[in-house]
Amino acid sequence: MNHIVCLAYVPDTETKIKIGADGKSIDESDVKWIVSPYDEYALEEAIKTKETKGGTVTVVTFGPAKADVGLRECLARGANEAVRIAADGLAQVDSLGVAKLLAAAIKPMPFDVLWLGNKGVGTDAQTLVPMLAEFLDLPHVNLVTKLEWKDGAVTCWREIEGAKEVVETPLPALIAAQKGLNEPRYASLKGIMAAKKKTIAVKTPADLGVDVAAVSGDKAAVRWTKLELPPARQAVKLIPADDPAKAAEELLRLLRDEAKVL
Amino acid sequence: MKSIYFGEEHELFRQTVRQFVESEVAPHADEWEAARRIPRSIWRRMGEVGFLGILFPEALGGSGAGLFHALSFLEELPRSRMGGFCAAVSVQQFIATGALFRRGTDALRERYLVPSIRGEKVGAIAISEPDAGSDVAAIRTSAVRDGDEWVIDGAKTWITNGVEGDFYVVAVKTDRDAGTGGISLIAMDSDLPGIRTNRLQKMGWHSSDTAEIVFEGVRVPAANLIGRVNRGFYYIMETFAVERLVTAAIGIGSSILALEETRRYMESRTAFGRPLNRFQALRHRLADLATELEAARQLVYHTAWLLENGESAIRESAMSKLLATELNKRLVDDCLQFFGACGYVEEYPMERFYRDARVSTIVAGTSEIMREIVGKTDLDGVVFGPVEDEVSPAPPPSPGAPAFPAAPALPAPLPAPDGLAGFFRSLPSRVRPEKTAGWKSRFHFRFKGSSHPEWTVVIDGPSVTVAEGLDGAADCVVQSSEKVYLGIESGSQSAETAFLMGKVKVSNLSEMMKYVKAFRPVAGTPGRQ
Ligand SMILES: Cc1cc2nc3c(=O)[nH]c(=O)nc-3n(C[C@H](O)[C@H](O)[C@H](O)COP(=O)(O)OP(=O)(O)OC[C@H]3O[C@@H](n4cnc5c(N)ncnc54)[C@H](O)[C@@H]3O)c2cc1C
Repeated sequence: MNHIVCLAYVPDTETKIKIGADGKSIDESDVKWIVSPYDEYALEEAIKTKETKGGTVTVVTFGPAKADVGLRECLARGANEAVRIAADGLAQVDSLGVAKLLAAAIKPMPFDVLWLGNKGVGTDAQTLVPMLAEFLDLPHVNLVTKLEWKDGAVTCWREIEGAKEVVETPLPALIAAQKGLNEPRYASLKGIMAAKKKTIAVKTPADLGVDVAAVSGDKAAVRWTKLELPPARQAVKLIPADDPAKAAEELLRLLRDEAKVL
Repeated sequence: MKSIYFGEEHELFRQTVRQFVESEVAPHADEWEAARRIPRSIWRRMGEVGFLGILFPEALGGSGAGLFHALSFLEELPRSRMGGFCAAVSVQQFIATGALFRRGTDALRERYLVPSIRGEKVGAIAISEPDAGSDVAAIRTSAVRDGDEWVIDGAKTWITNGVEGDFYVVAVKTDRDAGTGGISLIAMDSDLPGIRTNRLQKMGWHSSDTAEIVFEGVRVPAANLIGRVNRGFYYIMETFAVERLVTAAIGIGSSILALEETRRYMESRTAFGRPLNRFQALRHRLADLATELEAARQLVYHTAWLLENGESAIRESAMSKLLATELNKRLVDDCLQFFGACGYVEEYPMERFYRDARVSTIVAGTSEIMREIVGKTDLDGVVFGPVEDEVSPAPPPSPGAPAFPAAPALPAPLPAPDGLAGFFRSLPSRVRPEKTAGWKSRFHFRFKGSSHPEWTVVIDGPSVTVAEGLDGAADCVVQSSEKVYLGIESGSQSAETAFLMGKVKVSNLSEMMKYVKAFRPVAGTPGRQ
């Protein structure tokens, strides 16, 4: 069984995000980048399945040259091959554009399962999964927390509001991993050493026959016009509780006059 | 990382180690410190992810990586927030197993090293004794050969992993009268009859078990001898440079973490209406510490680079250990000060950092011993190694036949009273022409207090002439005592030991290295082949 895992290289969830000078992009100078955690669940499941059922795992990303570090980490964990669609020097591409690029790269590759994280932790648009499934004409199951392989099909447990839904899909299919699916492994040092020797195939949008100008910058269907940071949290106000009655009164006053929630 | 030493794959490994340590080890720090032990499960887990065999070859289950991978690992270990954990792990991987790997038979490696790389066995190295710490030559624990076994009696102390460990590499005296030349290393299971252990209570390193070990008539198979008899001190020294580098790297990692915690605290704590990090008096001290740390770190990296390039780096590894651990001790003290009272209570990290840092200038060679080594190189002109690998690993014992001589091999007897003259006069007949081809060099030898104190040896391709007295301008001057020199020549004393102890001084090491290889040993004596 062959697997393709699409992954995003995103700012570490613990990074303090700063807004760039143009007010609509992220200042990337101090950002630490990581493979999106949901994509790690997808990768782990692909590698685990490969280890028991044979086959290969190929990782694909759309990103700038620095994303090679993320791809190499995936190789170190056990992926066989890596492909990067070069995003260097491109204007902002929206999810639709990314879906088109990924679909163009994946179409010629044979696979049984196409894996994604249920969402990236970058822009959190959560639109890539259905769009990619549509472009590749694949059945897709998202929010997957458990799988059972069958001959030419797979049973998936989906996490839905207050319940689990069990669905079956024929293969090939697109499966989007949800937290809880597995515990991603660490890259072993041996894996890291071996990954160093592998080459990452780099393709430009032109190589894939995608007119990137039509899906980026001003032509993108979704454009960022402004970014704002959430309001800074105020310092905690401690109310002395020597006299409970007075303290309650003070609390009410603060909630009414300062927080304006009453 | 922007560094000439570290590439992308080191960085990836470092991140992996950090993530592992922060999520699987650090959350248990309080619990393990209180329990004064590390659970077995974490050893196995580290074995699984390949953290315990960084430098060992893949054939033994290791990763076959280099020292800079080891440094990436070691600098992140302190994020466990337990000096004791760092100690236990580094002893197991870098200190207890070095001689086993280099000098042990395949059977010994299979029995102890392979499972320790997998995290299934924990190891200890037992050298120190109640009456012998810095002075390793003074150890008294003895091993006496009895048939196919060694019988071991004595006591060791301060042994990391000594209570919980599954195996020990023990330094024993196999020749009571021979000082460093009478020490051997023997590997053994820790649960043999006659072994008793006692856990010591310490100021810091609580999660690491530190043991007294008593050996009473402990019988160990003869084949458990590591390498050859009476070579133990030499084998211990082979691992010294790495051991010191390892301790230095943990000191660096501990200091990095302490500064990180301090910067965070100084940002959040206010006094007189300002965060602490706005006070110039504190900022400057923090800047000094950061500067010293950066300098120490670069020395550690340079030392690793020397070692990776085949240098013995005895001086630099001693300097690294000295600088990095002394700095760590002082740095955590200053950082604790910046925390005020919060530095002194257990809820904040500095209290344990402070206790844990203290021992680093004592273990793995005290600061005074490190200074002694630097003093010898820089004041006495002693040149340390690299000494030719004198002894090949012992052959595995063949089945049936007794593996080793029935009694420990004694050092070859010293030659007759005219020994020195005999050795020098025999040089022309022992020359290896293939080693001296195209080489011209003149050596002066001086032996204090000898009746034949001065010798000149002239090498000119295949022809070697020897004369008493000092003649012409020497390319290399060698100074020693008659006894030491004869000891080296007869194979009863290792040249490296003699260099290290400052008993041989050489003015031009590279010439001397050639010289050492240029002559066959005297017939019938063990030693250089
Ligand atoms: C927590 C802990 C873990 C340890 N783990 C191990 C282990 O796993 N295996 C093991 O074998 N040992 C271990 N040791 C022992 C350690 O290696 C010794 O403590 C160390 O070598 C010093 O020996 P000593 O304590 O006997 O001090 P001593 O040698 O008695 O020294 C006392 C003082 O005199 C100074 N001194 C000694 N000689 C000189 C000199 N020539 N010039 C100037 N000053 C000198 C020393 O620097 C020191 O300040 C451990 C120790 C500790 C505390």
